[in-house]
Amino acid sequence: MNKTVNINLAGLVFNIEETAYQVLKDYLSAIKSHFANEEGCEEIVADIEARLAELLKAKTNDSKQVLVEADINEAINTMGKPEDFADDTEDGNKSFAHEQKNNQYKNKTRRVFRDGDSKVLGGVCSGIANYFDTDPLWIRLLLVVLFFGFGSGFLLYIILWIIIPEAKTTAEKLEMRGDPIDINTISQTIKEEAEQFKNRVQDFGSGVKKEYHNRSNGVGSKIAHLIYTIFYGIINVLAKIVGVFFVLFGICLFAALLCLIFGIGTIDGLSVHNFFAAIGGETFSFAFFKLGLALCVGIPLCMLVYKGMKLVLGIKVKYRWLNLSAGILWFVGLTICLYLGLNLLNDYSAETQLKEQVKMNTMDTLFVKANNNYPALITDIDFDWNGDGWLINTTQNPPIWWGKPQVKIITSENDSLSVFILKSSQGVDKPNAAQRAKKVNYQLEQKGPTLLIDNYFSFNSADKFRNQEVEVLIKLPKNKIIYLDDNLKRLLYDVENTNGITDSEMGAKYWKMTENGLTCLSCTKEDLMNAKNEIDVKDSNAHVKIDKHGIEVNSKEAHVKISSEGINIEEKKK
Amino acid sequence: MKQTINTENTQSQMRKGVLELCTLSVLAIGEAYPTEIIDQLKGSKMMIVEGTLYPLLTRLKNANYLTYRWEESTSGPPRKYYKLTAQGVKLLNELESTWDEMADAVNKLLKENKRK
Repeated sequence: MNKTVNINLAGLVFNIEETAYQVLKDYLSAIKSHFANEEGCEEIVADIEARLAELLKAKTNDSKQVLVEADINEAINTMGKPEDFADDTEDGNKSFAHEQKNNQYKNKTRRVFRDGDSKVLGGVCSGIANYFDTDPLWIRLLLVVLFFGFGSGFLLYIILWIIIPEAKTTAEKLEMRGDPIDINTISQTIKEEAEQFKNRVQDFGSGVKKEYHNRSNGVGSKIAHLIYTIFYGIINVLAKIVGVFFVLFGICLFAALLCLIFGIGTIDGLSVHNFFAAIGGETFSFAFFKLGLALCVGIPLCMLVYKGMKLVLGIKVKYRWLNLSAGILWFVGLTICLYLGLNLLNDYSAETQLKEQVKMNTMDTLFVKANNNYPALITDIDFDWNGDGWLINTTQNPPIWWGKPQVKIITSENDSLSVFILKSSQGVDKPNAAQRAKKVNYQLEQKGPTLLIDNYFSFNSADKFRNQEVEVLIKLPKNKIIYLDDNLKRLLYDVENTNGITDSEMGAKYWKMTENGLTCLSCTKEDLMNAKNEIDVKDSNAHVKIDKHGIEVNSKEAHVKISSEGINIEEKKK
Repeated sequence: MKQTINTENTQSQMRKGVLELCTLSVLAIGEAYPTEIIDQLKGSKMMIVEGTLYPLLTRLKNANYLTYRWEESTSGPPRKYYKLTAQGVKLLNELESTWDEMADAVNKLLKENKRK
């Protein structure tokens, strides 16, 4: 919706938009001044107005009652612009010879102005260049040279900036260039300015600059203007630095992404392909996932690089569709990744443990030893996943994964020794998990009184990695003695002992099973001293606790507490 | 930019020279209003904008080579219909012979110089 005005043109009434009215008004003024010196000027102008009215009337009808700028421009084109008039008026008399004469007088009417339209900082150099009719480049070069001469260039520039006025009106701009001032050159200049302005909006280096027009000419405000310009100059430089950073960062990450997608490089030693082959499921489309990843991660990276480039080059052009389509693609990528990811997680949702009992012969003392079944001669990959170390043999295809079993020793509920192998795995549902667990390979062997347990279990990566675990459970009856070989220490997992000795120190010792776990029979003083400083022993009669707080004994009859608070003895009710 | 203005200026000077002659010759057929005159000129490939024609007509009228009459029009403001006066006819004939002479001379010059 626009505002309109009513005009009377050659006796006809028109409804015309405000902007169009301005154009028409300017045109008619130009016409009037063009013919100002001519005899019969009023008549000519009246004729032209009448013709205009005729043209414009033809452009309106019932459905289009208002004249717009386009209409006016069309009419003006038909009528011709003043400069197009080939007639006897003064401007028309510019013959070639006449032009030359004008040029000779140029220098005499020239004045030095600062050129506000083609400035880097203050237009000082371009202004001076205009006066000498040279390229501003030379003047700027001269300034730089002076700058290195004890910084005199800097001071000189500041002084010149302050004392030279800026060419603001069109007449001043013409004076700056030494052009004669008449309606033709003025309208020419105005047109040129409009073009320049349009170009500058998309120009190199305009960056974050704002046009700050200094209306007053006081020195104080000029200095403020100067500071303002320098400030924005610095911001522009910073913006470019940030832009460069964005670009480099984005490119690096994007390269990493590409490596991941195209399977270059490894994840902790395991090739990308093998990693996903093992982690993925039967329904997991790696290709699809790569696409999703490319979109979800790649798009933001691309945008980062793009924005960075825009900052560096000072480009301000915006493509509306770019942000929108990038957002959509990213969202699609995200959906794909999420969908596949959730699908994959589903494959891990169930867990099953298979229990298998190993028949044991009787013996007095059970010796437990680890058997190194891992073919160490074959090159392998040391892969750390979730904190558990896996060894992966990629010389075979599909690769074989080797993991460490856990050995747990607990008190047996009865008098007999029993050993169990517990294999567990995850899967999409329990039967599926059970299937996987079955496919885990693990052996142990009894040789006389010695239980030889493999120190690695294995599974084929074709069966997929699903957090497979193996546990060797030894249920030892009370008072039974067990010897743990030193090579077991990596396999022992949180074995309860009354001495507070850590798993890794439990090797190469004799132990006796009690109600509260193993008790060390062959520990030296040193071993005991290195143990945890806590003892927590409980049976049906009493509970003894020794820790950093002190000693606490709790029985049916009494409660004794020795701590930093003192000694507290309490007799309980009998 | 300045170069093209000079060329264009000279060219428009040339056209300007024959403008009166052409306008008068159009009106020799009968009376016409400005738009008609322009159409005729365009038809013979003589390019001219309306803004140039109006002052020319006015000048010719002021010098009594043309007269006009008003005619009311339904599709806008009243129109001026121009026609030649006796003086105008005389002027037309003079200009026409001047043109013939000049065209001859110019063509001759151009032909001679082309041979080189």
